[in-house]
Amino acid sequence: MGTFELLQMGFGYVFEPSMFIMVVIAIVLGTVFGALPGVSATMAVALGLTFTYTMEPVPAIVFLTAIYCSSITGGSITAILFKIPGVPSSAPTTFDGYPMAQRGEAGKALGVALLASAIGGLVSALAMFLLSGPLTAAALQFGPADLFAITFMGLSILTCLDGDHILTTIISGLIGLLLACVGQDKMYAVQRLTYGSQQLLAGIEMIPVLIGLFAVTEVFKQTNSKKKRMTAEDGITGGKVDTKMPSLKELWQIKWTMVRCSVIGTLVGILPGAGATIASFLCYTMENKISKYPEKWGTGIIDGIAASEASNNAATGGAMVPLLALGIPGGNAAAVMMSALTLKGVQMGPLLLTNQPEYLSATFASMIVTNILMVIVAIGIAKVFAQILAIPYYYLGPIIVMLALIGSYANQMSIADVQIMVLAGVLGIVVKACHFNSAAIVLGLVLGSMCESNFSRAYLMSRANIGQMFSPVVNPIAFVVIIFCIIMLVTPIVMPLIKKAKKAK
Amino acid sequence: MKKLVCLVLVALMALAMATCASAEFKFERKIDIVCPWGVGGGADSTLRPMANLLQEILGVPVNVVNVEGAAGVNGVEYTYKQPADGYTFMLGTQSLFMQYMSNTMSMNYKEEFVPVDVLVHSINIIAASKKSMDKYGVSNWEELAAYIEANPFMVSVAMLTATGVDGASLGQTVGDMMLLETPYSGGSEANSALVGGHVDLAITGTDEIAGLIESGDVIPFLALCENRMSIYPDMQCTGELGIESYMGPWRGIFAKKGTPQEAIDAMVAAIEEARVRPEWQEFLKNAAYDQRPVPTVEELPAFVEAEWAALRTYMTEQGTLQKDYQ
Amino acid sequence: MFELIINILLVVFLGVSYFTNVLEAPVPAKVAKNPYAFQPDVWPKVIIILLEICLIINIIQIIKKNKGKESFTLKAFVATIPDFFKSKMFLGIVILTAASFVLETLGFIVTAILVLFFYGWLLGAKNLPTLAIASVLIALVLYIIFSGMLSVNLPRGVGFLRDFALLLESGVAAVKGIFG
Repeated sequence: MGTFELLQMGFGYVFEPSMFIMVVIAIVLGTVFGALPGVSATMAVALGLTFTYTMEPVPAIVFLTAIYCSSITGGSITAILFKIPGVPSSAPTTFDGYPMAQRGEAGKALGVALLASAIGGLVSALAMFLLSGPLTAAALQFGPADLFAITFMGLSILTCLDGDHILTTIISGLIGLLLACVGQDKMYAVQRLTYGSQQLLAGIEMIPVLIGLFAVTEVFKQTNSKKKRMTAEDGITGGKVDTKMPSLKELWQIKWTMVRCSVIGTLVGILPGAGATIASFLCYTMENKISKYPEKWGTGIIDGIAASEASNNAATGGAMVPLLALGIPGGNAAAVMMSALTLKGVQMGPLLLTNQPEYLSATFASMIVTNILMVIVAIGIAKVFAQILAIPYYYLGPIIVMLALIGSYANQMSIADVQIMVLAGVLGIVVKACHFNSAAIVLGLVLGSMCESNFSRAYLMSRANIGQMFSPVVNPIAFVVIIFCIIMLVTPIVMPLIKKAKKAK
Repeated sequence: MKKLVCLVLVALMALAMATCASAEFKFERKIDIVCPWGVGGGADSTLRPMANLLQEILGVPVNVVNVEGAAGVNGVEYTYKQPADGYTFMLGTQSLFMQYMSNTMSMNYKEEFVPVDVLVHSINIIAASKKSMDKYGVSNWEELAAYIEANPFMVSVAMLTATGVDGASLGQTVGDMMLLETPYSGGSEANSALVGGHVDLAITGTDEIAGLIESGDVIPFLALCENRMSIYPDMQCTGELGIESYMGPWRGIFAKKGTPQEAIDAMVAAIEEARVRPEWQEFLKNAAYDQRPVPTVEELPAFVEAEWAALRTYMTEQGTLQKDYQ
Repeated sequence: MFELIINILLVVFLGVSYFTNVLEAPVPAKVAKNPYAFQPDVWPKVIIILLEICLIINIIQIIKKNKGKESFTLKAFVATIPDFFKSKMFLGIVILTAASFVLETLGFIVTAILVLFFYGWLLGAKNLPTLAIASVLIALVLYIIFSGMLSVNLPRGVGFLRDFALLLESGVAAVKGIFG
């Protein structure tokens, strides 16, 4: 079957009137689920399963894909408005999105988030449709050493997350890495650093720490400050989101950020073990590193939002690639889709693409339509959410606290996570006072276990020979990436010295 | 004669009353079944279709509550905190037994949770990457075993370790052969590593890799069960090779101790009814869970006891037994 | 001064942990035996060593930077402590800590009502009756959305609180049933 017939067939499924209505419903549900803290993209897809029990397999995947893509986008709404990422992969969106909303630029921030999401989603959908075979083959080449190198690259950015406090930022990152070690270790299930606490056996999850360090600390700070922010005069007048879209000129300036992050997000999404969350953290830090004005990152610039949102939506398409090409889901949400399809008797595996190409084309069509419609739908939903912003802070503050509580609890139905969140909220104040860096702690925590596990696997497979692990012959990808990391790590330390030396002359 | 008639009547009445008594328990509101593992995982995808059928049969919502984390312990602790009123059940596997023996639970799992019924009992297989087997020039288990014996720590095997059941059943199969046992944190990661040629073997269920087997990238090498599997008749099995290794992951429903027996009976009755439904049969077939019978309710206590004992032996050997159940 | 104290505490705490808590259970025999296995204590130990080095450099820098400053004495720091305990922020921390400990017993609804009310009051709400009513309504709405409609099982509490939560859930289920 030719590409054209395939496309025709795929869009045929989506534009069939009853299906189209279902897709619109899926987008609304997905965006709302995604925006609510405590409902991750995986959970959103699982909630959507209920609707698919009576559907045929192809419509089911069309519907679930629409929910999946839009929930990842929905997460940015709460991230920008309340500093609570609705889905974990929107965490880096808070870094710049929330300061923008504070300045009264919530509309612009949301606009960039939605557009970047759509572009990320579209790029990855195209990649999936045209290149799923070669991309899968390439992703399979990534062994543990290469995966370690890539996560290490994410960590090496630490040295420039906050140029004025390099040392304390590194300390924060290391603290994050150490927090990731708490509990039963991921490789051999040996208990570490639990100090005899039953609760810590489960390890320290990223979500409660993140919500605590960001949202709760923010509320604590507001409790002390005299002026209560986020009231009517802050540009969110009368409960309407200022939907003033970012200007074309502004968007044009971040075009390469969006393209780069879409591509990298897609690739990270395909990699085994990495998903939207790691993609968005990696892209945020990488863009920060190569930016012409790294000092502005974290203060509320659209580049940061675009990096995070383009990459996490791109990762959704990435996660679908190995699912359709190999029958190996590229993430938890994809795993839910796989179980839904298996339940319907679809044989997932390398032969699916050849025998039943309609799955690929329908998924593609669904992603394209979703990513376009989503922008319109999500703006509407964002407006509703922003109504909450217009209410006085003595209502809003406690509501944010309760949403934070639900978000931490729902992740694992664990009271311990709620306590960790409160503790992290208090620590957030200490972190500020000591010039440590919250984002670096979270980064260490997110990448920690993936970094360690892959190092451990690579060590085993290279038979305890670290030289061989990064040898250009055995693991060329790892070699290149590690060299890149070393350069990145060393420059911020060496550059000032060189400058000094030059001045001395 | 009169006496006999009376006797028969009394017996009939008693029977009628007995059936009445057991039918008397009726679920009146939403039932929660806790799944201690994440959405989309193997445990979850077994539980969800069953929950749907139970909902139809019982006429009340049957809700799957995913409480992930700490290799299932979070879910156990959560269930333990709910009242034993017959409205909270939990999905469990033998990996929870290992968690208990690693001393990670706050209660005595064996005492506090009653096995209700087993939903599926699947078969673990050792799957091999086609490329690797060609490289080593082996085509059956005996040859592979000889190769491993001759080349210690050359052949790698992917597994999931956080739970440890894979490790136990691999241990039973290979004894003290020198393998590079490489743990992965998820089935899909392990399978990618197998297809990508980063590991040579993987211990896994057949359902997850059915497609890869079909395409020929992965060879089913050895089934850890008594008889050959009908879907892969060419695959050897431990039974015929005389290897004492039959442990396969099973998933069953557990209830907290103190749950009214009537509620448990009603749940068992509903599960048994669901079992014969075509939807469930279809599900078993699609996931290759139909290759091995599940223990009946009568066999259940002995079955569970044997699993405890086997895992205890393994953990004692490994020096990881922290808390004994006896 | 506060910064210095925190850094010193970290150094001591991590130093002790290095020797006592990195491994808290035996390593499986086959892992310990495998000459190629990356032992599970190495990674955390390396991180702790790196942290100790960075923290000590940091401490030296802090001392250098603040040397001779009037506020950089233990006495000056102790003098600021009462202010913290009198601050609203401290009360906020107390409210949330308390909430995280009673959440399981009181259930989500009651905890939410209390947090919404007291924190609202702390943030300067004037009209307390309105705040009380709003707290109850918001708590119920949140519970219905998450527990009733999104299958996020929030804590129900014990005793009659549990019964009430269940009643609410059944109500939502019934309404859902009507709409299909």
